[in-house]
Amino acid sequence: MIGCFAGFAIDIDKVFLTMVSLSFAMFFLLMIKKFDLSTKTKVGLIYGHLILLFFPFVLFTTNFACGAACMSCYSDTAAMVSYALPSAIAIGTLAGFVVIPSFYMFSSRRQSKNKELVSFVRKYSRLMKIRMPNIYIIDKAKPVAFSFKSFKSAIFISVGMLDILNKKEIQAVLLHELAHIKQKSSIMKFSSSLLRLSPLSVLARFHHDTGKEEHEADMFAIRTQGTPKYIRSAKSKIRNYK
Amino acid sequence: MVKVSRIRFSGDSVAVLSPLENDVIKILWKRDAMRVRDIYSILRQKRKVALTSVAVILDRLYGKKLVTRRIALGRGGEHYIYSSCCSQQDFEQSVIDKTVNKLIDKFGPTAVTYFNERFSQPFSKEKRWRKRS
Repeated sequence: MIGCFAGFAIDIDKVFLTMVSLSFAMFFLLMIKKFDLSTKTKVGLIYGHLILLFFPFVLFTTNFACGAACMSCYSDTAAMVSYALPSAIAIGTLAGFVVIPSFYMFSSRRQSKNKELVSFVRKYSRLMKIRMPNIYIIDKAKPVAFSFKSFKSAIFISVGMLDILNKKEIQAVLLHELAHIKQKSSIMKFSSSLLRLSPLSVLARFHHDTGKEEHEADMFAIRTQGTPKYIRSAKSKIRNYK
Repeated sequence: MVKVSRIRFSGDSVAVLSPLENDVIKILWKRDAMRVRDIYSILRQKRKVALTSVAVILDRLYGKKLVTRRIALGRGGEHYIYSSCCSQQDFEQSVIDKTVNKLIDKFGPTAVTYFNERFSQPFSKEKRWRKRS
């Protein structure tokens, strides 16, 4: 069994595949870091990076499973890749687009029943030509709001936030979150936080600056409301909550 | 069970809660259930305070299990409705109970003997004793 397992290190094809995969993962990371790319491209490269990073591990695991059972697949690199590559893609996709967004949606099952909020979000998502996001209420006194864009986009807002902000300030926060959905910045934020799991990103000192996206989202709220008053006062109230 | 972490003695007063916490809980003791904004509007007449501070204090009181809260739907969306967990008398009894238990845990027989002597005095003597100490 150990002989079969040790076969991975001496099999030149598998070692070559590992090296190629890791090199491409590093290349993708450097592209994200060096070039000013669109959110869509960046997200694609992040997931590409993660899949290529997972690939050698999945290949190794498949090799180990075949080796432990001394099955014939152990010596067939092409067969092994055909198992490993889809598995790596499935793991990356599942983690990125399904598991974590679903975790948020199911942990906060309370959807807002406030017609005023819902119709406000419906109106502006129509104007912005985006799919109407669901509004979820988080049972927390701390004022927090964030949005998620996955298969279905969603805005999460805490009860504490609704407690301390007035109507116009809440609208400013919702507009800010709608702008984030339009920018797909949650995917970028989430993808870059997933990227922190990659040891190569630590080596490349990758850091996603969210300041620009936040500023653009604020500017959208200001343009729509015609005044910076409400977004500013909302932010000041959130800051003062200690 | 009400959580009491600190009791402060200053001059003649004994404080279990901060001044603002005290003001907020006093409002809730008088009424059944209230929103943050309602408590804020009452409190604002008495002292200078921000709405966020009232929200923070209420969350702190919730953490200390002195108040309960539920989510209700109203103007401006979902909001918390706070109500006190216990009456003022229950709260004070709980504080005394905790204090006595702590003293007995810490000083054991000395505390028990003290309480025995202290509370076996007739009321008039007890008053004199209090003045002496």
